[in-house]
Amino acid sequence: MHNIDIKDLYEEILTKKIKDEKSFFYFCSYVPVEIIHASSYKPVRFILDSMQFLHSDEVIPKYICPYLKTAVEFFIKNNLKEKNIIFTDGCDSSRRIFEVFKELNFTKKYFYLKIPFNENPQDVLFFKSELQKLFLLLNGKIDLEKLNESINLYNSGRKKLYQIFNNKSQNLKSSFKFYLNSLFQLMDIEDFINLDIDFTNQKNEIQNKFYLFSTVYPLNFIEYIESLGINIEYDDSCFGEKNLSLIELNKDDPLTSISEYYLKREGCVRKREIDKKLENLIQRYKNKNLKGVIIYNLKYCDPLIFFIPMIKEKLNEEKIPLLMIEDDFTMNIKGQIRTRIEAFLEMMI
Amino acid sequence: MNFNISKVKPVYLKKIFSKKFLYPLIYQVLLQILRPDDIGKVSIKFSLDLIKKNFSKNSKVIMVNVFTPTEIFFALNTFPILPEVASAVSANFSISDSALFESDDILFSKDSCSVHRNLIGLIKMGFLPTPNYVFTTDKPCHSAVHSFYLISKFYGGEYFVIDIPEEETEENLNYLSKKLEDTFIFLSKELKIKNPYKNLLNAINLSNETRKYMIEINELRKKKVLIDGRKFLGYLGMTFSALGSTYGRDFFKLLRDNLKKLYEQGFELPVKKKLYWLHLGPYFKTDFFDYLYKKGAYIVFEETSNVYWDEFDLKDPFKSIAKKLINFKIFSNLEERYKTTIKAINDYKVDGVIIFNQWGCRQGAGSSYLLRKKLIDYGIPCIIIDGDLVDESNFPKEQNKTRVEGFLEVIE
Ligand code: SF4
Ligand code: SF4
Repeated sequence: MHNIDIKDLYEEILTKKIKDEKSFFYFCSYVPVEIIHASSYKPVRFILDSMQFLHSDEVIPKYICPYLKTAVEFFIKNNLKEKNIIFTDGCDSSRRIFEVFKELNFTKKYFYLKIPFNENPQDVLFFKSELQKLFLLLNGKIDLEKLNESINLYNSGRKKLYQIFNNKSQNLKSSFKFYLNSLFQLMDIEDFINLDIDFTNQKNEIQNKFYLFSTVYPLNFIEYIESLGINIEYDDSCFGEKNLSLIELNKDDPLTSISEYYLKREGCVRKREIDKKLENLIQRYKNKNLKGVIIYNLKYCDPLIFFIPMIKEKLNEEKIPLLMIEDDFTMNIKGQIRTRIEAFLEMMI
Repeated sequence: MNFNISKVKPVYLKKIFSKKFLYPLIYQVLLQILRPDDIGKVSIKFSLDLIKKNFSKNSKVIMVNVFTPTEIFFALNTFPILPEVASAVSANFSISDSALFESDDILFSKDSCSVHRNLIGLIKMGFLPTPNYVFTTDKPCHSAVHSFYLISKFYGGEYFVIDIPEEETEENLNYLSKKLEDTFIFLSKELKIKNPYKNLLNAINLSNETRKYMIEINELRKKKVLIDGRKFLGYLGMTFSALGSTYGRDFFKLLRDNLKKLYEQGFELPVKKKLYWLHLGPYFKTDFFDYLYKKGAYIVFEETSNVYWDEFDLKDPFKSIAKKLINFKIFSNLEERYKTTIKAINDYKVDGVIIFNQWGCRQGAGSSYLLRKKLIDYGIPCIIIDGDLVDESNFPKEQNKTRVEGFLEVIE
């Protein structure tokens, strides 16, 4: 499978998924795909390539999350209606986008998932009861056996991906790894587990390996920076590699297992455990012998805006080179990105 | 006398604030400078006592966001600081320009709510003391969840978030009320407060009393346009900060008395067009509102003045507070905002609606375009004013005046 092939495959499946009545879309990594799957729906993470905002500006202000805005733009442009979608209160933009989707009739079956910031036993219980409501809405009943099966399937998918990513001898191109991960979030899990992956021509030839920190970035970002001589060895974003940790399944109470997992895994910038997060970052950085950290700073993403000062301070302290690229998901500043990356690479030599 | 507090260095202010014996004098000086009315005097007294308590040696500084119930903190003999309110006040004293400038060094972005950027600058500059504890709810927005976390990491203070569920179910009420009570118990132990529950009942009583005056005020305002609603955007500071204290009770009682007197005297403002105002408004000095008055347009009611909660139950205070928090109707979702607006339109015979969009406020502005459309479909003229609560440079005053002019012409 060529780099181009995997990208084509991604686009082909996405087109099908958008039409599929059984698709259940989501935007946030706190959404438990296992419950969607156990309810005989197909979980699909909705992410698109960068695009210009031509229609969405009429329904939402400029300063709403551009990642979510691309979805609004796409729905309006393609006259999509009545899709199954799970929203979360992950951030303020995501809370309001939920209303926009509802109001514009973009939704058919939908759920608004409340995620607590706290992770104490009572919060795990609270989140569990939210998950229960979701399961009931989607499936009509709580089917623990089915849920156990789905958890095992997704764990297998995560394991497969983890092994590929961590197989040193393979040293894969970051764009290839990125599309593989995106496929994992898009395809039917059974198909992903059985996917025969061809690694020919996917070897990374770039010496400069970096750590990417972000919430969400457009699909073409990784390819673009790769073309400029940057290989992303570790993707620390909302849907990045850290999400490949496995669910510790208690077969008698899988809902608690899921609740614990999604609330307590390393997760994203929304988590209030910055020290642990920064510790993990530094450790990975050192273990992987990387050259620097790149932050894709998604404009108008509050959790990221307020997180950056802390990460910046830590990287300074550790004398780790940092390049911040601010973009609004449109990649309109490609020229600027090129100049900054060239300067950054020059500084490293 | 012309006195510009923005020219005074925070370190000198701190020195002055740490000397308790100076407070009576400061109070008299402020009365001379500001020449406040009766209710203004209460808020000055409130502010000075808040400063005295929080800037004195060995005091425990508690910061809370606008939705954290202040009753439980007054019950613990503390005087919680609301940095978001302080941020708005600082704009009124022209301090926000420098605070925003200072916060740019920390945040590297101007794309989030300026209220929160500003408050980070205020702490950095020393206008706000370093907290010992910071508490925030996850409503109305997540800005405080993030900015308070940054404060606790950069400047100190133990950090707590109170998660507010979406729906009022028995399970959710129990979850939240337990959280509130745990917070209360934790702090009463930390601060070594004896009899905290007895104090709590007192605070709850005061809060209930205040609520009663607030409702009476709203009822009086239904009858006649007795007061310019812009003032209520400022009084909101007291609603957020002083519930559960005698200051809150006295403030709203006096306000009720004043309005009642005006009503009895047959007074009414020269109103030609009645406006309902959603969200907050600019807190820096601006003649934008004078422009409205000149056109005979007055704010007759505001989203933030809605008293949407029931009286607290003294037998179950935490559960009643939880109920209030879950059912909040200001800065709420599209559906709730629409409903409360329609109710206000009918109750206050409103001719037009103004939605103020704060730059970077994803939660407030996110569905505002759709709200505007729904209101227009309902048959009420509605306009969105884009601007900023504390950053004057981000408030296109002239452009907004022109837009409002067109809007007022539409209202008949
Ligand atoms: S966390 Fe950031 S990237 Fe994710 S939805 Fe919210 S604003 Fe967008
Ligand atoms: S203006 Fe909006 S973002 Fe800012 S504090 Fe208020 S609700 Fe939060």
